[in-house]
Amino acid sequence: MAEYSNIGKRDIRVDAVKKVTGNCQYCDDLRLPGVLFGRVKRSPHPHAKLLKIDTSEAEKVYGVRAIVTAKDVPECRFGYGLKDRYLFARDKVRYVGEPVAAVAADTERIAEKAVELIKVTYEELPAVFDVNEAIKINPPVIIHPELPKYSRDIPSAKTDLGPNVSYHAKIRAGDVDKAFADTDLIVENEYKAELMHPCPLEGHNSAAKMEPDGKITVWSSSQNPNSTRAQIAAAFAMPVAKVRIITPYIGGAFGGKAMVQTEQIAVALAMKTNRPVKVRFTRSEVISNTYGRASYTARIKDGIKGGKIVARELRLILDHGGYSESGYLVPGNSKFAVVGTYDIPNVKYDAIGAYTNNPLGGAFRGFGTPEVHWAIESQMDVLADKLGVDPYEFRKKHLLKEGDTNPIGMKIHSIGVEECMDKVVHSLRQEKFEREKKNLKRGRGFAIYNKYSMAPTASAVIIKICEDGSVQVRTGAPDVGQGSETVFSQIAAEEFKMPIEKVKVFFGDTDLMPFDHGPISSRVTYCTGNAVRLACHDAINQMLQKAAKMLQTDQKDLDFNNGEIFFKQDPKKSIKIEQLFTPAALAGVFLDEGGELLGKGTFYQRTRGVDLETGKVVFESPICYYNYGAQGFEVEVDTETGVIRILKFYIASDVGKAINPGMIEAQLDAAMGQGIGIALYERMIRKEGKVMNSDFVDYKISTSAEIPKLDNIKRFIVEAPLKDGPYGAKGTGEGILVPTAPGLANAIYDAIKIRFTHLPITPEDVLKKLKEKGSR
Amino acid sequence: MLAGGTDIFVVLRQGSISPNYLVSLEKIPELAYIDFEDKFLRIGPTTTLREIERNKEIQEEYKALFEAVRQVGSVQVRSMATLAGNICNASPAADTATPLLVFDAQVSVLGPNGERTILLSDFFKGPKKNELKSGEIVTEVQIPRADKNLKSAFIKISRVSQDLSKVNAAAALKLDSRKVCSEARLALGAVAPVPLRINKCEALVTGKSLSGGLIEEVIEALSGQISPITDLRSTSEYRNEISKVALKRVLSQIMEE
Amino acid sequence: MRKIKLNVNGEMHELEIKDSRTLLEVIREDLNLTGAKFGCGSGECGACTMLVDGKPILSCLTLALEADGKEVTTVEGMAKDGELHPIQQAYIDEFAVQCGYCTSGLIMITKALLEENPNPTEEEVKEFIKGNLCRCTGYVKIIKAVLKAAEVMRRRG
Repeated sequence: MAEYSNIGKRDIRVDAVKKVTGNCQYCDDLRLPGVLFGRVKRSPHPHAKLLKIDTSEAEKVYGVRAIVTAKDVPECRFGYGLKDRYLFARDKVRYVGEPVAAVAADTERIAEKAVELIKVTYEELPAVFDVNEAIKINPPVIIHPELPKYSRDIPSAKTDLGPNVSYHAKIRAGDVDKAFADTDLIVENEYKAELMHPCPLEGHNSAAKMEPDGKITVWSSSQNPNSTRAQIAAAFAMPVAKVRIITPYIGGAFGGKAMVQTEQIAVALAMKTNRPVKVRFTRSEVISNTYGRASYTARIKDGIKGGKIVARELRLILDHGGYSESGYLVPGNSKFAVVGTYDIPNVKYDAIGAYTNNPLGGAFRGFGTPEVHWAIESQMDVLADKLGVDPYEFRKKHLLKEGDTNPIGMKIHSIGVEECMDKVVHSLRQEKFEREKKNLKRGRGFAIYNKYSMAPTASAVIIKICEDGSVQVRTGAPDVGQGSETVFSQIAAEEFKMPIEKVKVFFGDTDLMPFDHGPISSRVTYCTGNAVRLACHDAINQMLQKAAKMLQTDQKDLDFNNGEIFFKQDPKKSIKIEQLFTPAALAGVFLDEGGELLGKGTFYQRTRGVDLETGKVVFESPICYYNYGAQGFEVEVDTETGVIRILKFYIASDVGKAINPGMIEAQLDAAMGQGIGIALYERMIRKEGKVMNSDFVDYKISTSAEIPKLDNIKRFIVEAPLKDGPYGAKGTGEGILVPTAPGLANAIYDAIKIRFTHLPITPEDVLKKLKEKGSR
Repeated sequence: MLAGGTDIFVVLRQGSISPNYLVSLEKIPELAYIDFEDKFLRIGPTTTLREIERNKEIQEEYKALFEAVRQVGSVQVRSMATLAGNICNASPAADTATPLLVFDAQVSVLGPNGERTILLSDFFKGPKKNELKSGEIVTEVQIPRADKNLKSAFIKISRVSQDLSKVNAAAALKLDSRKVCSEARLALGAVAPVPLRINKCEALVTGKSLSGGLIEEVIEALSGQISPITDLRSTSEYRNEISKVALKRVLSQIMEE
Repeated sequence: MRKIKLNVNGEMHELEIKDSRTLLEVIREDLNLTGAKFGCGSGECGACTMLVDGKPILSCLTLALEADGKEVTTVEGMAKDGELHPIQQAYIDEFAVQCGYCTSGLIMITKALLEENPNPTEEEVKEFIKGNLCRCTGYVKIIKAVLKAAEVMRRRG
């Protein structure tokens, strides 16, 4: 068992002091001299022809410096995977809120006033809000008639569905039809969820400035600066090299800030005014006009023979809304969730992303996995119940093991799911439990999960050894709050055998930092972490080479520790890193050969190779790894009001290797926030394509008063090392949100024997079903 | 008229109102008072909900009001919001309204035509509509002093903890040593265009001794007395059901005291 | 335009401002104290919480005028002589900080709580801070941090 000096330590976060003293700079904290404020004119209609935009009255308002519409910007489609968006609506609007124009003015209030004075003439078109109608071969409305012409970075499988389908993902493993024909029991169910929003506390905001040389600088709360850069370049028909993205600290992203949402508006206005422009969405715009998690329906059909699932058919339909963005990639990625945990030989999976005229539905924190698990993990309990067996034993029977090959041909490795489930379930079950007390009924339930980390992605890192012996880590991956800055510091400190205080991480400038796909898909601990290690090794190599030259020996004779390089055979003979540099007359020090001690490393997760029609692996691993885990709950249902209280919450996650257990625990706790929110409170209430509850008054997220007693919250960190993870580590950022909803639904079923299949599970739903049950 | 600003600023920002002037009462410290006098508890127009929440005497004498006030919004909101402002906002879901109704509260009003007193039951006219005429302001909230035998309770049912009510209920009963109720006041909020007293239910309790059976009778009589709607927070169906539960729970609380 | 005097974290500032500007705007933009954040603009999230004459308020719903002549305390005023306040240290030690956007507001409401109630129970903490929303932490470590800060502050007397 390796002994580490920094890995596994509960190091306090390197950004913590900044954040508790108000010294941490987020995008909205930037001060740009001469800045203007941008606001957006949005479509009030879900589907309409855009006939005329009259900006004359708005232009007269004092303080308005520019108004832009589609005619001011290139006619380029852009998008995250599928290029289906224009910067501003051209001939049509496709959802309530679609940007039609934008105003830059001296103050936000002036810009708002001007936006109201912009007169837009529409011709309303019929709209489609039901995604099941929208996917038909002859749907009532075709939302993107030019869809076949749109360019795609990632191809879709062939689909026999209608013209509103943007993506169709498939798994065809074994022969489900044959298997279903020979079963003891078939169970079919439908699971649904409403449109939900990640609601990061920092809303989407950015600023843009034209530089004198024609370059554009964009400050953004984007979690994916390289992608933002590429998108802006594509949207404005500019070379990528002319776009610079700077990301300061980010106040939460959760997948909702991986797409261009405010940046393009700031850029368009900055180009027209030749002044810096800031665009900050209101909370209402954040909730109703940025990408959240698409509403969906999942139909699952399982065939049991001899007490085991022999065939599973799952059909997931996701509602993109007017444009797909991140939603485009969800169906494809969701495949991995279907086959990550259980060994079922015959699997048929269809995941369909389709357009409607609903508000935007993309993905957040989970990207297809929570959607699949809402169905699968609820269904596992349903099946166990029908068979009269323990849901824990039932799952155990089906678990994939280390070394197995899963239904799509992936070799399973680093799978700590059984240990996670054991820890959670045993802890929960060993405690005393009072089932009923007057009108209060209690129940226990759990769910397990897998969460893939997608491929292909890449991370490049540069390490600089400074003249004072400290180390700089330069990465293109911003910290969205999950603590990557600290993790990278710990890794560098480990590799250089020095205290963490001597490491400084720099991120957030595409001109200066190397490429990174960013904190998406739970990837940075693994990908960027590996790149940090590689770059450290390269830097150390250069450092030893230089030292060897100076000490007139071979590199292999040397070792190093805490800023000193010494002879292995005679540690007293040493030099400090500082001594590798040569004093410069009147100007500090420099390296007399080779420029700088600059280590470089790229970690490129091998190409994703799956056959589009069968979902089967054709080349190595189609993902980086799976993170696994489990969550268990004890709930109390008030049968008079339908209100659900969570009494106990146990969570386990297999992280491969816990680089910082304190930070991992903090991540696991997030299930108490977003996790229970998604299960019990959160949904966008839509009426004819308009979001009716786009503020915190009515889009409810959980508060501190909703969580169980601290003593009733238990966390288990499980380590099933990942061969090629840094020290065996993998990420867990998204996984922790996956099993909360089905785990709670299973606990509620245990309490009142009612199965809920539509998220969120509100007291209204609970009371209604209780009354129906009672009256039967 | 600006006191705490917690309601006004939100609608100002949304653009639903655009006054030319805002007159603030904040700099007049004399307007924030909680005075226990012989006949009335007098509460000044700029007294914040937090000041009321932290007043031990109110907690003892007007338990339902204390319980309601402490569940409004958050500590920050309560540090800014005033009782008078909350009343004038006239939300049918206002948590403070139902306790004030069961305590028979009234407001003093000053206007161009002089002073007048309005019973709270006459003050609420509809959702966000109150009885004030143009140019009138609320200058004081008056609650008749409660004698020792007046027991009260309040309950609020909402989505999460920092939230507006789906339904709220308040009860104030004058009970003698044998738990016979000589006077019953029951009020429900968020189930009608205004927070309201349920006279029919009150009549059932008056003169009787509280029991589980009586409580069942009372909640049966609730049907037809309220007209809850379906909105972003809840459904009329659900509100109808939990109004009964809320009423039952406030009565049971008092019964079990 | 109106002249106001704000005592912010012990420093006197004389400002000339438009009537309609909020305290949050003036603190962030005119005084460059960007610790308090804009989260929702309607008093629901608590990210803008600061103390005015010791009272915790929502600065996005407060006109700067209303703070004229008063003492305003923001997160930047918590550390003294280069030493972090026990509340700040507790948030760090207990891993109660992730993205940090809610942190400034939470530290201020924590200060208000512990000034009023130096020995709060877990339930009292949860109730007191429920006006501050957080999306990263699930509140668990925040509550631990508040209880830890209370303990440290009680020991120090």
